[in-house]
Amino acid sequence: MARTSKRGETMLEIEDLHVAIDGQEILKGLSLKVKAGEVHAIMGPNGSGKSTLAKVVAGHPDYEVTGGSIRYKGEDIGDMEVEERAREGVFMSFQYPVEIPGVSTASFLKAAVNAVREHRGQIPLDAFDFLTEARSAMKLVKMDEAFLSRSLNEGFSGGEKKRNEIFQMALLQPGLAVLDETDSGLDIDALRQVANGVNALRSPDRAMVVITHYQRLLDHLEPDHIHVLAEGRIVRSGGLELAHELEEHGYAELLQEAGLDKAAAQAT
Amino acid sequence: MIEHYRQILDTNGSRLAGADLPWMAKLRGAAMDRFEATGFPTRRDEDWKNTDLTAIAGQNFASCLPVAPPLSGAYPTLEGAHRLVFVDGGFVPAAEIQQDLPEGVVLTTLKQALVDDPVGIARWLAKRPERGGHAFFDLNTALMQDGMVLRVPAGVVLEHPIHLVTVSTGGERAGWLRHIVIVEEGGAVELIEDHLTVALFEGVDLSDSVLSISLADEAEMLHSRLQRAGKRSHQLGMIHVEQGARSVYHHQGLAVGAALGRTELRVTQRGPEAETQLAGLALGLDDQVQDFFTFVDHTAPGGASEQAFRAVLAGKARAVFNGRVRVARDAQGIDANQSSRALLLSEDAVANARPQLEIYADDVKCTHGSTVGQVDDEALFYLRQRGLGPDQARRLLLEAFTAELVELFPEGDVREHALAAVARWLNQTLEGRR
Repeated sequence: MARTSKRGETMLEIEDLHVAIDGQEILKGLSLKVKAGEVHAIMGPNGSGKSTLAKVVAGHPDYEVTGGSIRYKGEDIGDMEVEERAREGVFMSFQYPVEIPGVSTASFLKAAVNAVREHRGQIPLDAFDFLTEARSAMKLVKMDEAFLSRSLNEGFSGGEKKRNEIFQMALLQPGLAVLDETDSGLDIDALRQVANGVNALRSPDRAMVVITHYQRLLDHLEPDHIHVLAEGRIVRSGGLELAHELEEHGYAELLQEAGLDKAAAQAT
Repeated sequence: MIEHYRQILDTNGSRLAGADLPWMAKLRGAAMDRFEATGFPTRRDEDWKNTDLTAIAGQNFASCLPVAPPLSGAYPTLEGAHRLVFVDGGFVPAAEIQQDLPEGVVLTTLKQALVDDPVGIARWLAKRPERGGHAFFDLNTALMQDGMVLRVPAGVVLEHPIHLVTVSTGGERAGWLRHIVIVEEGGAVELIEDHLTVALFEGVDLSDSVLSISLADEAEMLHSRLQRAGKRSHQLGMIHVEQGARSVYHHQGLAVGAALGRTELRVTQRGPEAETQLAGLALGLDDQVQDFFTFVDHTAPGGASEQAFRAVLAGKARAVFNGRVRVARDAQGIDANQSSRALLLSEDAVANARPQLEIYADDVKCTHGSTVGQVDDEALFYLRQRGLGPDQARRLLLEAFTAELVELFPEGDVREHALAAVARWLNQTLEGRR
């Protein structure tokens, strides 16, 4: 059963992680440690392995861990199924949330909330209590209640899909949230709404990993740590100033400094 | 065996509908001759290419055997519906649930109709489909035991749906039923065909029914068909519809039971601006075969036809969809759309889809689309990432896939029956996967 986390507890600890898909190695010795209350940003050029990191933490069955370990609240989750991780409190916001015609957002979310509650030994919510919880979570991202009766993500705009992801995160109250390119495809207003939602969900007992290509989301979120991912490894870590440095000089220069000429050439 | 059926006709002629009418005897004899000449269809026949009938052809189905029909409680009910029940081709008067029908409405058995008004229905019985007449139609004409006759007079809207229950009982028995529905100008009716098995005996069975529907100008018919027979049952249903001007025919079928199910829908739009909607959902597991065959013939201008067929298949099940649309040269302004989609849950399941468009007019809009695929892995991952177990996630996706079709059934008892049948199938199938 999932237990509540303590302030400052290490929520995610990745050590020397090697991950392959279809026999091709994508992550090549990645290490990362994120404590409760912290927000870490992972930046990196396309193809550096950012999305792979998100999916492998969530437990996507197509990705094979060939070395190293992933610990959540001190426990190795490498052998856990996707849904077990989710119920333990691992949440991943999708870069491309899947459209599922015919499944209403409400019925899906009620099933999801109750799967998590059951796992935690809590009484499942009935329709009324679910709606009450859903309403308050929707306020965070200024989502209209009408979305609940629509098919999951079907015909949603890019911004609506991302807000729907943050809404779900608010509802599921994870211990660890990995946000995969949550800013992609958003205009300035939508970006602000999503960022406000994420900020409202920052909490001393929650860790967040924000994966992004651009600095602009980070201006709203002000992460505690920034890491640059290239060729399957973290090549530099720092504070917010690192994001500004990247914005100014681009990835190529930084990668070149790190001796990654090939990645640098691709990043330009 | 082919000779076997001649024998049934020779020995049971006196027990069949219209036994004392010479023209009926002639009609039956001629149909039997045709059947003997052609035999059962084989996979060399275009229209039966993907459906193997050797199991039926190799069996000598008995007919007209006396049965003690199950008690009334063995049959499904629908709120407010007038129910007629046939067991192995024989009418069961005790199982009828009667509703007050408006004056002028005729609802009776074929046997009775052939006593009351033989001339009035003779032409409906004599009519053969222009194309695609085949063994099962001829056999039905030769051996029809009984059936339902419904006539709705002009302008009458039947408030109570008609629930036509066809029961097979196993025991290598066959039931041959012939139904006639005539809706006169501006009349409207809802019909629910319900095909099921009450397994009184061991062994396979066969249910072969022909339903002729005539919709006059501006007549409307809502036709639901639930085929939820037992797994040793063979279910053949032929539905022939003729539509007058601005008439509406909506058909939604669920094929969830039977070793072999085949629904043939042949619709001819005789008058202009008629509307036809045909939909079917096939669910198969083990080595079941569910076959939908449609032929929409647009002979008049301004008509529309919508066709949507879906299948979910597990085990070694097969679904077949043959969808033929013909637009005659003078039938301008036709809007005809057709889609078929199948989801395969196992490697051995097969879906065959064959759209056939024959268009002789130039001002028409005809579309067709057909897909066969598996449950979307990314959708499964998404649902599981939010905490749903794999079975629950798969079930949700399959419910969503089938919902589109189930929602075409009219709200209320009919849809509840369809939903329950789908839910039972999903339980069985998802449990079988473990």
